[in-house]
Amino acid sequence: MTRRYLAFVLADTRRNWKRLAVSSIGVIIGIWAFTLFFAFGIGLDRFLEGQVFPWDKIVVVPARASMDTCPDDDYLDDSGTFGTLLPFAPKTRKFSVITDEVVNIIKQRPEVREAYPKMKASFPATLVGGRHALSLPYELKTVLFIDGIPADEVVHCSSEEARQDMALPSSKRRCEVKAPYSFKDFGKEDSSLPSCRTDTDCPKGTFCAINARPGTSTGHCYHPIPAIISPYLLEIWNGSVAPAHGYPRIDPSSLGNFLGLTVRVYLGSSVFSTMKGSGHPIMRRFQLVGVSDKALDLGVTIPMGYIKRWSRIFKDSGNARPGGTPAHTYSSLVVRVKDKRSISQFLAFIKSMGLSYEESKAETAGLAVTIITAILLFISIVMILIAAINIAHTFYTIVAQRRREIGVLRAIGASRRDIAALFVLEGTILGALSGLLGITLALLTSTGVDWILASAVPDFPFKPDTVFSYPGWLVVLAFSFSVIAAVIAAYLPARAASAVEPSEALSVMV
Amino acid sequence: MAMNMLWFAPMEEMSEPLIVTENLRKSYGDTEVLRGIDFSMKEGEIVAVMGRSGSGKTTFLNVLGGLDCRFKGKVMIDGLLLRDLPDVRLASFRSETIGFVFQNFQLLPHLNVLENIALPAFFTDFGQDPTSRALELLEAVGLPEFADSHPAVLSAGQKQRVAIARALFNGPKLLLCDEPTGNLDSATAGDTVSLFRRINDEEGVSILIVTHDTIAARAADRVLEMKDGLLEEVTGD
Ligand SMILES: Nc1ncnc2c1ncn2[C@@H]1O[C@H](COP(=O)(O)OP(=O)(O)O)[C@@H](O)[C@H]1O
Ligand SMILES: [Mg+2]
Repeated sequence: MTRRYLAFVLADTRRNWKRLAVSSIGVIIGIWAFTLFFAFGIGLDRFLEGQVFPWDKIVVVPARASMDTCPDDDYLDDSGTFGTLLPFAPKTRKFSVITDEVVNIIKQRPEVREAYPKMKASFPATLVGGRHALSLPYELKTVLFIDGIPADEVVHCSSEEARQDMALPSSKRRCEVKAPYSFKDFGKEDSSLPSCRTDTDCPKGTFCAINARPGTSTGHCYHPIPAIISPYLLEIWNGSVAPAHGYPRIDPSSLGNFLGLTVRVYLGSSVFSTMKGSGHPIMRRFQLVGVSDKALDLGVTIPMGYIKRWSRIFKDSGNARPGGTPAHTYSSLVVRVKDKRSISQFLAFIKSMGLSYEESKAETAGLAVTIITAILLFISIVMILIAAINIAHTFYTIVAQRRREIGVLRAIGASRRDIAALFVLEGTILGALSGLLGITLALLTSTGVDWILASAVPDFPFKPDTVFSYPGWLVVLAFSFSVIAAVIAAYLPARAASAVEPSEALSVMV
Repeated sequence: MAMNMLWFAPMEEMSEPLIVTENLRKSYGDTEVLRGIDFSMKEGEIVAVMGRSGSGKTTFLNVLGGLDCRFKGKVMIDGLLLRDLPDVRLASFRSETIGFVFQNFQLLPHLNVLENIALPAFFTDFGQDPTSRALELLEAVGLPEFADSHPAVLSAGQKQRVAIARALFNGPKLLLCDEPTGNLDSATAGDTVSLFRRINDEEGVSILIVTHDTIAARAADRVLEMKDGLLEEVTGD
């Protein structure tokens, strides 16, 4: 194939450009839709898995007898922290609750990057506060969900480390609690603090705990209970609560102003029902010390030691919610896996241990996105195929109209292959240009959509900067797809053109 | 003199005929158009084949030029047996050995005169600069001022000259001309005939003309007639 031959192909393409342009509109639109939908699918999937529902997060929970027990599990020692050693393979020990032993076994699994247990509060709580910090006309009063995690599972940073951390992109930041705050159980230190009647009797930074027990008016000073909240809660606050009620937003830059904020929390007190039995609410100051995705989505997370002690108190006083987790077991175990591909293997292991796991939202959402993306892609592929038929038709028309000309080319020395290549190359040029145009249009469209999203759509939780993702392979795929579709479309007419005997091609009457 | 540099048809010993056919037969369906033609032509000859319209002249020419391979019998051109040749080989035979001149010129309307003449260079590994070669040929046929014109503005005679220049582009041994004067008035036809003579004289290009026109036949060294699917020598012109 000589350079001059290619020049001839180019000249011929230019000669046909109007009808080729018309016939390639379909491919351009098809590639546009294909690229856009695909980029949207990938973008949405990444966004959901990365930010809204972390893909690597698996919450292991005890198997609930009412829901998860099947006949095979009947021999399980249901009362037991000890589990049952099965006589037959698989030789995995079975557990019905999550104990320290379970935590250790799971932590040693090769798929596991990190694992920490959680303990839900088995008593209700009500939060009161926020008036000053959030400049509200009244105190917020709301039901508060609390859980606990081991205090040392939270990443602490010095102010210097925190500064370096802030310079990293948000996905790489590790600091969860920054100096001078600390996520620790002050239980032991509190016992050395003086007794008090009011907060003013206590050293700076500590508060007076007077439990509303009839006849008592003195209490003990204590450090406020460190609490962390989830980025999800912040998003909900910023995206829904704050705009709806006119409260201030809390974004990363202003977060510092809100750290250290304390609120009163009435433990054992529910906004939904009055206390019953002999239980008395305990009032404690909670202090916001950090933001971490280890925290409860809608609530606060505190060092687990507090939960253990308070659960005992409320259990003894008969004020515990029915069905609460026994104090020596955990309500769940949060696991972050290393690799997406090892998830199913890990989940199978969890099942074999007799435990269960929360339905992964990432999986559900991801599946929905995948299905929708697949449908959209299917539609765009059908569009491209129809467009390819259109191109084939155009080439057939061109070939029919130029039969005689093809005969002349054959007579002066063009082989069948030269003639076929002429149309296939024209198809290639057509496909390449259509592909570039379609991809460019898709990029423009997604820029436009992102712009509308940023400027015209009101904030919502986890509102992303972009819902599209264009990995390099997608661009290559869309481009190749366009070229291949056009080449295939041109191939059959090209073969038809080259199959004709030159003598017959020349004998056609104009 | 200039033309000596343009056309390089080798002047070999004229021992072996340039064209040999033996018992050449060709049918369209049930109608046999060529019924066993034995024909031979020496290198350097100009031969005219006359015959009524529909007698099979074009069919004969197409077979000789490798434009139609569905025939029976033996056809040998310049030592090459035109049978079961792979398509690429046949294409290079057409481009190197044969030059075609058609009755209706068959110029490509979207290319200018120069590009039309240089058309064969698009499909072969043409060594020199095709444009200067095309210009030389255009001068040789006496139309240098029309290099950039499109065929539409040319007269029939001018178109025929451009078509002849194109046929000569690759320096063929044999020109196959199908009714070359069919669309020309008698004066222009005469010019074309003398152009053929000149090409033959100066370059030794062999020329086979099929025509029903006696003017065209005047150029020929030898005239044959196609009749009932057979070729007969015409004696005593
Ligand atoms: N492609 C074809 N299919 C069927 N018949 C054909 C075809 N080409 C030519 N013929 C017939 O073959 C005969 C010879 O045609 P042709 O070689 O074109 O004659 P000429 O060139 O002498 O006018 C005519 O009867 C014509 O109708
Ligand atoms: Mg004819």
